[in-house]
Amino acid sequence: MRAVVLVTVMAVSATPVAARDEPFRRTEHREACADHDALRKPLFGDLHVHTNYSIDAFTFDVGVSPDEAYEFAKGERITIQGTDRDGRPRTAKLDRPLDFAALTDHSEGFDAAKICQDPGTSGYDTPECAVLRAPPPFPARVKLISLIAHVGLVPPVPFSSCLVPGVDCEAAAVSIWQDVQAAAEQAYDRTASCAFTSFVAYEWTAMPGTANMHRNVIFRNERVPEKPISYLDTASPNVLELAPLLWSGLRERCLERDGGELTEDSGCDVMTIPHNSNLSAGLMFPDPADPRTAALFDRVAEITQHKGQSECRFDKFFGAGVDTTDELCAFEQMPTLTLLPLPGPYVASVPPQLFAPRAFLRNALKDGLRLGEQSGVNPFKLGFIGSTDTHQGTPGNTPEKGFAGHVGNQDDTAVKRMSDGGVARANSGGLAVVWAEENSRDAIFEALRRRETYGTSGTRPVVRFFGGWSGHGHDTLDERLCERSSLVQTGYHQGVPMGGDLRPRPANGGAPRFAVSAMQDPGFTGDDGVFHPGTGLQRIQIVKGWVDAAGETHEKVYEALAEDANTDVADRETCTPAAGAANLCTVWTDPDFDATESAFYYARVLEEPTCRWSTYDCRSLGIDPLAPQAECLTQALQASLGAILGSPGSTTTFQDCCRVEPVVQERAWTSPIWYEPAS
Amino acid sequence: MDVADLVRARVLSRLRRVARSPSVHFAVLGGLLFVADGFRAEPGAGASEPSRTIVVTQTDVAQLRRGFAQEYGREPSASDEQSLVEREIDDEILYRRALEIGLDRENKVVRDRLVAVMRMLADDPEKDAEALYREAIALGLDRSDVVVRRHLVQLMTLILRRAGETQPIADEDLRRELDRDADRFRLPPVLTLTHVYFDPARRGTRLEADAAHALAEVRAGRITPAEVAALGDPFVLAARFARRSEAKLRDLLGAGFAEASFGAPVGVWSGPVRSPYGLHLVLVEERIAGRLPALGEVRNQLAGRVRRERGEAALRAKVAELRAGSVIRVEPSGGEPAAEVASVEGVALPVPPPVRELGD
Repeated sequence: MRAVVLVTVMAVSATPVAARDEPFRRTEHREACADHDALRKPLFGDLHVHTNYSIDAFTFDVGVSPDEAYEFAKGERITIQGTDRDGRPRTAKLDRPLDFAALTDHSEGFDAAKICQDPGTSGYDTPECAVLRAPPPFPARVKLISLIAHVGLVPPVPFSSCLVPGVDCEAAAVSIWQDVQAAAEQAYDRTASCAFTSFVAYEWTAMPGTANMHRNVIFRNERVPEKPISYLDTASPNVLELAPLLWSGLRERCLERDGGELTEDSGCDVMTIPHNSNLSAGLMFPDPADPRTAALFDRVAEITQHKGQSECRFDKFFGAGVDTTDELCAFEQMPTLTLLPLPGPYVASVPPQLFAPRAFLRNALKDGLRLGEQSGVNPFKLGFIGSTDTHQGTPGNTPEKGFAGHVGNQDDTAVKRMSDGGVARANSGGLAVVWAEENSRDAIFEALRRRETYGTSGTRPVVRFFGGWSGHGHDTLDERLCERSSLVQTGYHQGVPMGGDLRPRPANGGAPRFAVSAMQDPGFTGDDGVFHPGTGLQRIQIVKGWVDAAGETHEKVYEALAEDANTDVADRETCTPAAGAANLCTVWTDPDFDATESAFYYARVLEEPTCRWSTYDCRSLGIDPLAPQAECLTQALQASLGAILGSPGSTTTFQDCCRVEPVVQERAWTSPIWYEPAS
Repeated sequence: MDVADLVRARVLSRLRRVARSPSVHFAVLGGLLFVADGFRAEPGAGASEPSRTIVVTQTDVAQLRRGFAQEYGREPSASDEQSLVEREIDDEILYRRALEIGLDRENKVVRDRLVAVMRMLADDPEKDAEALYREAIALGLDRSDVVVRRHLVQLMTLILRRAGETQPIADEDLRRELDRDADRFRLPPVLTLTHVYFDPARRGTRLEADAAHALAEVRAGRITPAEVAALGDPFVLAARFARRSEAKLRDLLGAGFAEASFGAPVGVWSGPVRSPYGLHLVLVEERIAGRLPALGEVRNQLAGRVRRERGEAALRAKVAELRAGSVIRVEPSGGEPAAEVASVEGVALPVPPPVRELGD
């Protein structure tokens, strides 16, 4: 007995360094964190946030500065755009502060955002700035179109204000970029308390013909290029060249800085995070000429944010999906192929067959396996995060109840939110969760790079995901891992965490085996002392994608563990969800494994259904989206008559109250774990 | 906060943002050098004796009201109007001061603007820029162009603020700032704890009994801390939390767990403590009291705040000084004679109609 124990101990201790990733490298001057945790902890953040330095946010009358946005992320109450029902300025505060955030203002229009907001510049009076500044009733759509007339064209056109003599757009853009850096530095906690981490970042906003190819550019530390590389710098009539031009620019001006050496005093490091492939018309993930570079920069993608989820698409109206039959993909979807703003209140969704398959991450990941087999490098090896994309300067403000809007004066009231088809379909945004040793830039950046991340649709469940092998012996994943109090430690020893590659298949030939352990959002106690419980968990699914010998790609969704199969809230009157499980854990082994086929596996953890933000809004307007359709439409008609009497000329119909999903299943998506056959 | 405050806050926050931009500072420093150069090269040039009387006419007020309506989409209220007038007076004072010290000379923005305006007016559009610039100056365009005025007001604001911001900051200044806003900087108390989790879903009705049993065993020393851990259930988060504040514990494990842990004695197993996930036995290993950070830990944040505060104070003081040396009249509406506003120590003492001081 004693000998057996000894052998096991030796076997375990022989692997740990190789089994676990190296501890992260420090590339900046700061104190180590007092709450360092070698087994890593979940940090909640938002890596996609706009402030009034974004030309579109400023156009929507958002006045929140980068400093204020960071204060908000840390849990302070700030004043935001708009007034409440009593005419007082609106304020907002997070229920729970974030651990980290990156402000990602659009680098295109840094110059115009500065010039048009700053009366001391000679561009301030241009007709263009006057339009962008014009208050209601000036139609916001005209402003949007004037913005799209720059960045939406192929190739894009610089802001005309920059052509006025005496207007120095270069200096204006640089000055904003320096402010962005200063705000990040001011917000970053370099003490051992490690209360909050900021990142210097921006959004590269390539959108030829309004097809979204946007990527957020996140820098590892305070050493960044002198000027962001914007879409205007990388403009090309060849849309396939756009992202490669960004990458080569970042390589030259960041990665190769200081001879490419990364120390506490030198070197620059960066990654790009694609978002809204769902609105890219498939252009987000074309076959790259250089798959190695694509895989180097795009490490994680936003799987969800306020303009819809990008995991997959299933349209209940058409009863069909985009290369999928997974009905749970019918969650927070946008109706269009690109970012083109919608005319009018309700527009039917574009049919599934018109969407490019790679507009959705699951399909891109499947194709990545195939391309990887062909070229030797999988270009689409993407982990998942969520974020908000708020244009309100309010990072992490994701609750469904009391949703305050994300786009300034476009959606600051319930009436506006339910009057525009695009806004009614937008959601309250997601969160990025990283498993890191500590709350510092280097620790989080490396977690993102190794994809040990998951995305949530805005709530805070805690999810671990480990992959290993079935069978017996020390190189397999314990089938009874869920019963081990050393679950996490053992998971790291015997397997790889989310975002990793399965270790080589053991000689005795098992199948991939995965452990998923999930705990529900713990809830929070509000300022009023009232406890708001988190929603219980409903089930854990494993999503597998693979490519067969003929080069065909496939997918399958496995139910790994389910508490129930509710599709509705438990109490419609109060929107109270079913109890669900506080804690779900399961070990799942692939029953259909073929060792010759490349594959990826990720976990999707679903909460019990809850009321969507729009349900609360519609009820405040006297319309009940949970009532039968006919009744709901009658209420909508009454409400719209009221609106017309209140403000003649109103064309609001509120029909979206009866058309968008009244309940949603919030969820978490872990980064995948990949399997590659031994060559 | 009324709407006037909101308008003011917005304007100030915009100005503050501009002022913090280092590139603007460089530009301003460059500008200052030019100014100094200019004075040396042409002593007295451009420094004509400025008028010390400022009159805001009803035409000016109507213009301000129009501008407000254009920006906010509604008519200004009485208090909005007062803020607008106050701001206009400050701008005029700053503008005159800028002209007085010759900030308009050799200024690229002013020059480009004047050349552009002259090119539109000039009979010969091909004329050389230098000639156009000289013509504009001769015509006094630099003293009447609205863009030039706004630019000079802003430059003057930055220079005045900069005067306060560039004073060296000593450790005592940082210390004073830290003490002034101690609550904001205070580091919260932190705990290091180990916990053992009992899962209601696994244990059902045995939950309480199992936890109580494990607690009794470990307290009596019949089992080691390692062994008590093995009695618990798997947990996704760490078994040991190092130096966590109550807020951080609360966000992960709920207010009940955080409160109970912070109330627990150090060095003894206690519990069971309830969280949204079930029951926990808790061993608080160390408790560190909250404290003010050392200066070195928050030097950057403190220095940033001191600099900003000094910049604002320097600006306020200089504007107040300039106001005190001026005679300011605001024409009331309805054709009554203009009321004179007396200034004492930079605080405007309004003779009706009341005029409020800006920049608090």
